[in-house]
Formats: sequence, C-alpha cells, structure tokens
Amino acid sequence: MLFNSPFFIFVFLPITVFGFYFLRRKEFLSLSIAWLVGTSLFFYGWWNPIYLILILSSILFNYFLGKRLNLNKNSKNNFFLLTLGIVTNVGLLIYFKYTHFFIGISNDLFRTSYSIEAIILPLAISFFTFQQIAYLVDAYKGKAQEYNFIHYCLFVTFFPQLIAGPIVHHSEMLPQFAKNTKELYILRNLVIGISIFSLGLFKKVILADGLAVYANPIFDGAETGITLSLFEAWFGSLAYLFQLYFDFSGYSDMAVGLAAIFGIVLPLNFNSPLKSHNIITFWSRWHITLSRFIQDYIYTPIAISSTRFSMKYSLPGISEFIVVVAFPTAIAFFLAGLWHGAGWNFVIFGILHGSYLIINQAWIATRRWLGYNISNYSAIGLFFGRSLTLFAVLISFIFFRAETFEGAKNILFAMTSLDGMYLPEIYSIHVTQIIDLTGFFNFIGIEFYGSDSLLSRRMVLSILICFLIIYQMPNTMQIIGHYWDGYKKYSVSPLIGFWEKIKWQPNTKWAIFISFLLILYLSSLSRISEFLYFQF
Amino acid sequence: MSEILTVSNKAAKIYIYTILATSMLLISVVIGVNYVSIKNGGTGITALDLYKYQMAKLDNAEDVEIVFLGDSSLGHAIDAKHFSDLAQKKTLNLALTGSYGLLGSYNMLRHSVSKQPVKTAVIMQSLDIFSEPISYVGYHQTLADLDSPKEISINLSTYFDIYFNIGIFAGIFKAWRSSDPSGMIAEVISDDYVIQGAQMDESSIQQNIVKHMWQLESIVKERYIALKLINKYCNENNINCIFTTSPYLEQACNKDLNYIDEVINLAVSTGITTLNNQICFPSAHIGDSFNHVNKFFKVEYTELYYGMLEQKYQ
Repeated sequence: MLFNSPFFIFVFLPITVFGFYFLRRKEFLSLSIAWLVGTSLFFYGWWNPIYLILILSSILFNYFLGKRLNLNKNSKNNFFLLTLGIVTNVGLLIYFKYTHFFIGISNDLFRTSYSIEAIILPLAISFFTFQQIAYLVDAYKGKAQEYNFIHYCLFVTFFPQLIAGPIVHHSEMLPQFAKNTKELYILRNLVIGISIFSLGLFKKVILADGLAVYANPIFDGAETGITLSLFEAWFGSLAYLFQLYFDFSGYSDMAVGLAAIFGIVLPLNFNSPLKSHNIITFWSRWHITLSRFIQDYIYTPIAISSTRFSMKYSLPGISEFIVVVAFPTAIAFFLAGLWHGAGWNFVIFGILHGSYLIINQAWIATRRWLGYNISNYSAIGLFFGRSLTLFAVLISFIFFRAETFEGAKNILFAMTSLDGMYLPEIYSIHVTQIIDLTGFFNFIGIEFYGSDSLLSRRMVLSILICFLIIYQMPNTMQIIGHYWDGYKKYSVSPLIGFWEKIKWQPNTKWAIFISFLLILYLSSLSRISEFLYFQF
Repeated sequence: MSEILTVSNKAAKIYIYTILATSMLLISVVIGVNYVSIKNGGTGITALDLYKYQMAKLDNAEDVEIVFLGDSSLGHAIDAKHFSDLAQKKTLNLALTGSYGLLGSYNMLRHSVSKQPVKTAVIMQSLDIFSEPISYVGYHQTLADLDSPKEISINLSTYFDIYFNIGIFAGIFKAWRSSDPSGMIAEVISDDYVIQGAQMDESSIQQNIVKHMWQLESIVKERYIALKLINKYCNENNINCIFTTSPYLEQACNKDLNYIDEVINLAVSTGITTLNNQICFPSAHIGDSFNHVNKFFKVEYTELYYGMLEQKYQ
C-alpha cells in the first residue's frame, strides 16, 4: 500500500483518522494509540502478512531487552545484553539483506559456486532495526526511559514513517504518545497535515515520476551497453538525482503531513540539500535522520575512542587528523553505503561520500590553519561550492542508481567523452532561431546529427525547470513550516523577500491550489509509480 | 525564530470545505469535458480525430467488401487502393492506433459490418501490443451505439481512466490554435493515414535494438479475449475474418522468435483464421519505428500481404 495509492488515500487514511479522533474525543487515549498500532500493522501486513511475525517478534525482543536494561542500570550483564541485542538486530538485517552479497564475495574469493534460494527482503527492516538499536544503546547508557509497551509498538510501527523513514528516535516520539492533551485541534491538524501531504504528493507523483521517464532509459541503456552521448549521460544523471531527491523528500513530506494529521511531529528529513555549498552541509540536509543516527551511534563512539587513542599517544598533526577524523568518517560512511543496499555500487557510494567528507574536513582544517575565516563565503565562493558539491553528489548517485559497476562506468565514460558531443538534429532549429550559431557550436565541438536520441527537448526543459525549482524555490517546510509544530525544533530557514508572499496560509487561495494538486494526483493514478527508498 | 502560528476552527472549516468544493468542481469539469469530447469523437487529439476520420470514410464509401482493421503498423503497411486493384474488391484500411488495441478493432469490425456489405475482415496488429495491458479506454471510445458483450467488463477504475483524462485540455487547446479545426485531421493525414515521422537511421536502430527484448511471460493472455470475440462475431455474421501480425524489423524479429511463435499460437487457439507467417523487414525498409514500414515500400508490402491473404479469402 503506497501513500499515493487510491486505497490508501480514500479508504485506509479516512478510516484511520476517524477511528483515532473518535476514540480521542471519548477520552480513550490508550485505545486511540492501540488503534494506530493496529492500523499501522494492517498497513505493514498489506504487503505480506507473514512478515508481521517478524516485526512483532523484533518489537517484543527489543522492548523486553530495553526494559531489562532500564530496570538494572548498573548490572554487569548489561554490556552482554546490549551486545546480544545489537548482534541479533544486525544479524537479522544481515541475513535478509546481505546473505546473497556475502555469498557472492565468498564465491569470488574462493572460486566456489555456492548459492541459496532468494531471500525476500522484509519491507522497512533497515528502518525499524536502526530505530530499535538506538533505543537499546540509549537504554544501556541510561538515556532511555521505560516506556509503555503499546507506545513502544507505535514508535516502531507508526505507519507514516514505518516503510521509508524518517528514522525516528524514541526520545522524540514516545513522549508525544504519552502526552495527555484535552485539546485535540482536529481541524487544525487536518488542514496542516493535508496541506503538507499534498505538497509532498506533488513532488513525488508529478516531479519525481515525471523525471523517471527520462532517467530510466539512460541507465537501462548504459546497462545494456548502448553508447551514450555526452549530453545524454549528463542529463540522464541529473534526471536521476533530481528524481531521487523529489521522490524521497516528497515521501518524507507526506510522512510528516500524515503524522501532523494525528497531531504527531515527525523529524525533518530534507532541508534543501542540493543548495549545500559543501558536502558536510549536504549531509546535514540530506536524509537528516540517517546522518543523525550514523553520527550518534557510529561516528561519535568511534571518534571518541580515536581521540583517546590520539591523546594517549600524542599523535602529530596529520596523523591526528587521520585517526580522529578520517578513520571514523571512513567507517561510518562505508556502513552508510552498505545500509542502502547489498551491492558493490552502494559500497562505492559510501566510500565516495566518506572520501568527500574527509577532503572537506581537511580543507576546512587547512584554511583554519592558514588563518582564513571559514564561515564567510563570497558569492563566487558559494557558487563554486554549490557547483562542486552538486558534481560530487551527482557522480556518487550514478553508482547508487546503476545496477552494475559496468553500467555506472559506461555513464561516467560517456560524461567525459568528447567524442559524444552531439545533439539530435532537431536541436539545430533552436540555434538558428535568432542568429545562426551552428558554426559556433561546431567550433566548440558540438555537432547535430541523428534523428533519434534519448535526449528529448522535453527532457532538457524538464531538467532546466527542476534546476529552477531546486535552486530558486523554497522547500515544503519553508512554505508551510511556520504552522507546523516541529518548526522550532527542526530549524528551517525562514522565507525572506519575494518568497514571503508565497508562504502558506489557511486561506481560500491556498485551498484552491491544494485542490489543483490533488486533481493532478488523480490524473496520474493510471501511471505505475514506485517509491525508490522502499528498496532499503 | 518566529512563533508557530495556529489555525482557527473557522478558518480550518472554510479551508476544508473549499478543498472539497473545488475538487468536486474540477473533477466534474474534467469528466464533463471528456464525456462531451468522446461523444463527439474527440477534439484535437490525433488518435480520436483519426477515429472520426476512419468512421467518416466508412460512412462515405460504397460497396466495401474487404476491411483492414488494426493499429498504426497496419496504417503504414497496407495501401487500400492498391489492394482494391489487386483483389478487384473495394477495400478500406480503417487502422487506428495501438492505444485502441484489439478491442478497438473489434468495435471497428462491428461498425464496418453495420454500414457496409463486408465479406472479409483482416485484423492486423503489431507484435508489441500483446505484451501491453488491455486498454478499455480505446474500446469505450469506439463503442458509440454498439452493445457491449458480457465478456468485457468495465469497472469503475476503467471509467475513471476514460473520463478523467486531463490531456483532453491539451487537445482542445491544440484545436483552438489550429487555423481550421474542422480540417485538423488533414494536417496529419497523408496517403490515407497519419503522416510518419522521420526515418530511423542505423545508429538509432542499433541504440534501440540493444534495449529491445520481449519476454514470453509478458504476453497478456487477456488480449486474446478480443480475438475470440472477433471470431465469434465473424462466425455469427458469416464474415471471413483473418488475423495476422504486422511487419516488424528483422533484427528485432530475430531476437524474439519464441515470443512471435507464442503470439501466433495463442491466436490460432482462439479459432480465428491466422496467417502463420511473420513478415520481418530489413532496416532499409524501416519507417519511424520498429513496426512501421517506410512509406516508399507501402505498395510492396501491400502486394506481399495480398499474396498471403489471397488464398484465405477466395
């Protein structure tokens, strides 16, 4: 059941909302939470009821282990229990997600041909596993309270965030479920939730799905060995990057909107990441909850140990940087890449981003050492930074999307191939419309030939429009965030100047606009649509 | 940072009612425009205008004995006038587009028989439609006043697809911009069918052939319900109906021999007279796509199909 499916929007959601507020109005607060748990499990089981056993077992195991850790805070067995918990959770993830990958590696290394039957990856396993590992670690450290079991169930299964995030933290979710408020603000929640949801739906169904039509043939062609032109490779890669951004950020907006309907605040997951001027900023704005998890539960513990090691042995300059910064970053992003999928392309993705971050950190350290003010950027510097960041991210997402290393390599070669600098003949019309620039284009090496190309004019126009949307327009939370309960907690840059005029308001104009968005959504129902991050 | 703003109950009610009212209004407008447009044979959308064109041809012709029914691959392959000369029988080519599918051809057959003394109907469809989902939209758009057999069930979702097509506004806009909306079809018709695009060159063929692959598993068996209906109708009305696949690029044919065999075998199993030969043309004869013969070879392929069909309808 996808968020953009008719059954979800016209059947599941209205029934769930009605049931929740009906119980709340009757002051059956626990029942209303149980109702959400029940509907969330129904939502999860819609995909495959058998895997309800898995998620329920995971919940029971982690809840009672966490309870044990909370009850006996100073017990000597706690470390063992924590290890057991992490190993079990990670082991489950490894079994379902990485078995075939490791078998493949083993076969390559030892020249065997061992194989097993396909293992179906349970939906959302990467997300609910990470959420519960965080809970266990915090319970061990004494940072997690003891929670009501039903509330804990909802923390894991809450349907807006269950399938593809945001990766929520127990400390931001569970207190909300326990809040006993008499005021329900039903209408307010509906208005704000539906509006955020609709904006996310638009990004997913119109923008992301519209770009998929252009990106897929390019990447499919690269897998089958088609020789791509320079422009096809660049535009195809940009199409995918923008598709992924609108798909995932649109989905995250929908999740936030759905949660807001129930008066629940989910954390922000995207904050205009493609406007970032360096890769460190990029990761503070892209899949924010994943970055948070990696930082809190992987990077920081390793960095603390590395720092102690460095201090103990008084490591000099560069060695200190390598041990304290580079090493934890490399490990953290290697694992982050692997989390996305069981394949070498995801490993390369992680390694690339780890490398980018290390280089960025080294650059900042060098500038600081040279006495530069690292927080001031000139306009040219910002432009250069954004361009370089976009380029670096673009390259990494080619590996992210490609099915094989060969496919990624074909696209990268095409992106650098000066032999492929041709555009379809139809574009030659445009370079002669005002004055004849054919000669100029030929001079710089661009030729016009061929009638058929994956680079249609509509594709080029779509990419250019996406550039405008991404770099000039505000994001969803900037438009509507000032009415959203999470606005202050998750810092959102306010709109200034011209864009203040398009701030969302609960007025007729916005209601009509939202209606148009919903109609556009209805018109897309016959199209096949997928959420890219479902595979994780 | 500014305070979080709140929404009053009154403002929220007005907001929700406005969304509901506007949505209902917009849905009604879209459905209404689509309904009127389909009832009038479409406006500005080439496929719908082509349907109007073919129906007008059927209305204005006399003593038609042979009709060709199918999609664009038929439209570009058969010259009806030349076929008439060869067969010494009045022939019409009533090809629509692939979006109408076999059910569209079924309806066109019934229209033909009701308006002309048709004795032979040749149903010619492209190989690729057999791996695409059935379009009930095309069926509905060509139904007009015909009865709908019980074998074809149109559910709510199909009606939604038929009547909730936002593309109709683009078509209306196109017609409004055209200097002569009534003659718009003339702008796209040449040689009795929609004008072809530019011929595919060798590099385009090679680029696309690498991606081209049909899987046996992708054959939509539901499609053969239409052939069964056609066969049943032909038997009841004493019409000689023949099914054949249309010409396809040789390089693609060679990759998909199993698929082609399966398509033909399934057609034979429906009981309809089927031509077992798949015509595969060389790249020199290609038009603007893998299933379109270049217009310069239309006469040659007409003669080829005449030779194959001659024995079947005599």
